Amino acid sequence: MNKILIVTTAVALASGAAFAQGAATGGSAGTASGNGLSASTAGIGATSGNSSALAMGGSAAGGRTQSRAAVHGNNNLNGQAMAQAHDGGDFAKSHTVCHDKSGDSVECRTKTMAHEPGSKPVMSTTTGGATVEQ
Amino acid sequence: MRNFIPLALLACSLSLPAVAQSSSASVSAGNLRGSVTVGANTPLPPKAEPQRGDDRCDSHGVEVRSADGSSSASASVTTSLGGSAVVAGGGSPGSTTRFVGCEARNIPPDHVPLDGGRNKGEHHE
Repeated sequence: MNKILIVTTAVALASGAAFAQGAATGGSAGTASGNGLSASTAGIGATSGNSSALAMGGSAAGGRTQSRAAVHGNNNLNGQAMAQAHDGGDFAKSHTVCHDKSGDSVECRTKTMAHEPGSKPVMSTTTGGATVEQ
Repeated sequence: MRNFIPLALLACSLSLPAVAQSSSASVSAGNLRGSVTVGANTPLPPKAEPQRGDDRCDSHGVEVRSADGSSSASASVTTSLGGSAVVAGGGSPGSTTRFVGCEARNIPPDHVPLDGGRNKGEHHE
């Protein structure tokens, strides 16, 4: 008999957008979980004038886990964070990608997915961002 | 000009035993402020008494601030023992990137590379 999964999956997502003259902030985050596994990622960025800042993070718990985060670029920044946990055929993973264009816009997108054998994967996508008002 | 719209703050509660982890981030640009938070709210399991040489750690964070201070972003993550967590940050040239928590690594402003301290991290369990 198949075990019963606690399927709380790819639910948590947060995004925001803010506008003000010459500045923009945006971010997104998500969590995928099920059957004792959980994976979360978050990313958020800011730009004002010629400056920009971007922070990413990810965490995973349960089973075998892996997490990775990176930010690249100079004035225009690209970042990504990935977290996943798996145990046998069960897995949960979350992936956030952010693009921070200096003085222009911040866009982040988070995709999450959780899966148990014999069931369809549950997926979610959320985006958050803002463009500097010209 | 449109008024400042606060970033949405959403916290998700998941009742999953043996899972305790969360991710959050906050940001500011000019007079803007915002944050996002997600994760399981199950309390972290009680920690065992620290052992000699015990380097276990469950909280990671990064803070990035631009050279002129007008833009900043921070992210923090936590996970239960045995899980994995990582953060990364970067900014425009001259920015400072400061790590807090488990991997507290300070990058002095005069050592920040021209790319604003871009970095990456990876963790496997």
